[in-house]
Amino acid sequence: MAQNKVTSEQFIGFKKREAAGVKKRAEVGKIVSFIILAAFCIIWVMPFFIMFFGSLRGHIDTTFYPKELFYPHSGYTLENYKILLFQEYPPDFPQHNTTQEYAIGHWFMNTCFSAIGGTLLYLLVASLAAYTFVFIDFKFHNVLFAILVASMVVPGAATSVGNQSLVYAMGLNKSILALIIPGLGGIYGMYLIKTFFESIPKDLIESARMDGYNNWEIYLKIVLPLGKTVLFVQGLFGFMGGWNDLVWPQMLFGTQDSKKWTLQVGMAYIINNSKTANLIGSALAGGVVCLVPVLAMYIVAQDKIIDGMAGAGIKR
Amino acid sequence: MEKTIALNDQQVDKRARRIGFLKKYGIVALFLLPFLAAFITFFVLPLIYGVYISLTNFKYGAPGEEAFNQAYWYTLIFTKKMPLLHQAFWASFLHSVVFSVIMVPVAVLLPLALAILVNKKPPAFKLFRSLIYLPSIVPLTAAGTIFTMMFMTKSEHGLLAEMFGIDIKWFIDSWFTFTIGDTTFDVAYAWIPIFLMCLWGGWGSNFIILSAGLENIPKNLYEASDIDGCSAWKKIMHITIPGIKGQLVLCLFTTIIGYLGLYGQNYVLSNGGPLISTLSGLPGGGKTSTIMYFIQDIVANVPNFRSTIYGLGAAASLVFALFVGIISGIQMYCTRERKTGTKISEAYEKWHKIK
Repeated sequence: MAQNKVTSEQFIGFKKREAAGVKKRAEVGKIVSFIILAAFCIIWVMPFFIMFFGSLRGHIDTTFYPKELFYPHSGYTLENYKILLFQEYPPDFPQHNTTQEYAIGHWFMNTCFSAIGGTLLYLLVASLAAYTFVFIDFKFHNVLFAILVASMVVPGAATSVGNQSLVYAMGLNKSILALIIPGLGGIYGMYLIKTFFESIPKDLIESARMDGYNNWEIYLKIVLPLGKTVLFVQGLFGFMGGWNDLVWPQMLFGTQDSKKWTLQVGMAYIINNSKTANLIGSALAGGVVCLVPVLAMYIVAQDKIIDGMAGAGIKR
Repeated sequence: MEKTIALNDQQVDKRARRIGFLKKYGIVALFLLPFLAAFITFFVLPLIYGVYISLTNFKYGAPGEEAFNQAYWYTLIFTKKMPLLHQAFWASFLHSVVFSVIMVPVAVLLPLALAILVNKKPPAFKLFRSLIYLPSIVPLTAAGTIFTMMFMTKSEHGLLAEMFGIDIKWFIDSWFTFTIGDTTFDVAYAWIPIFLMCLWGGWGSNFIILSAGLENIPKNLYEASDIDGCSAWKKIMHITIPGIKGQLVLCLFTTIIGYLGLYGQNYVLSNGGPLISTLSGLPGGGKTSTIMYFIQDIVANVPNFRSTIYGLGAAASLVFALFVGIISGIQMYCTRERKTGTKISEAYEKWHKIK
């Protein structure tokens, strides 16, 4: 008989729920929202398929059988990727000249350097600064931090023109380093890392000091391992930001030799050159090349990205 | 004897303290310096340099040859000394403002509706959440290729033209014109692809932030309202919306600020065009140019502008930055009590307490 016992609160709650018919309605709500979301997601994911299958379609099919999108008339082909990567045009391809070379290998490497190298360097610099602000008590550190935070009101547009000329004056305007170095002073990531470091118990650090650890050892052996979640999240955001940035690389290298461009600058150039039925396939192939690294990262780390964004309320 | 020992002790003490001091501040300098140096070099200095450039006849690539010119660039922006340039700037500015005002309800209400649906936890809601956020990680140019293909003209076998027979020259034709006072506004069709591209992938972070806000609303409020017999709509209006007010305000402002800086979408899709005939040959002289497009035209894309009116670019960017800065200042003030998101208010509070 024991299993039939119900407390009075449970009984009342049960009765109330029953009276309101909550459960049934909740079920209906779930099904309705499932249907709406499924329909929405199918529409929203379509462009990915358009891009992917469009890139696998030969230029003849694009011109003469444009409606056969997902099953190209004469089968799938890698023709567009050959045009993009090796400038290997098919024999019957109409004459096509570009003023700048499609140096997509260079663009890819530059973008990797900017996104990965820039992110790693920033994580090091910003986490050291965050460590100093949280765990070392020095004079005026609150004032200093308040100044840094207040400077977040100033949008990037205010400094970009000055930065461009400053980089020129420093002689970095031909160097790929200029892609990453100006980002090292960013406040947002440091702020995020600092907020997380504040949740690390101070006692832990103090006892480590007692044991004779110096600051570098504490940073390396205690704070970094404990803070690796936030570093990972900030790293993901930094990578995506670096990968998707168009404005700054364009300001730096937009009018220079195409070998210095990043993928975004180069792709923008390709698109502006490919607004015809023959060439749109190669632009779509470029889109796929551009998307794959970010997509792979998203698939692997989507929970971290979403949770990190929800937790920090970051907006980029 | 005793005296000397005491003195020695004192000296040792002093020395130890000095070493301690040096050690501490040495570490502070070592750890903080890279960041602070980068901050000063690439934030403070460029800000000052930018102001200086905007007040001189600076030429990109030839620093040191400039001279002050009585805020000439600002007079071009704020007076009709050169009416066409004045018009090009303010048309671009207007485009940015109007577009971001149009985008705000879309980029807040759509994710809000989706977040409410996802929050009902239907089957596979995690998959939906990932898929809904997915377009937001797509690089701008990759998205640009798709929308270029969709909106190519009939003669180039664009997807929409072929599939649905819509025969519009999207990036050439003018959608409609209207007149207010003695100014005629010409709205190009090209805004539609740009809008759709933003609609597709421009609000993912709003969705995530609003979802997180919804999760934090206490469930018993809904249960109580069920007992009181509230309709679903009433629940949304009286529980959900007030419960995520902070997140809504944040999304509102970040959306406005984000779309004020619209650049990539119109650069990739329409290249700022179609050109306004009277303004061709001027920076930002297109029907879809925005303020960032105007600035980028001068400082990055056209070498000729860069060597003649570089200072105008700096002046324009400062005017724009002031405008955006005021808005984000208001945002910081409004969102100072929120839990998630930027905890600027808390930093300030702590600072005040310590003072």
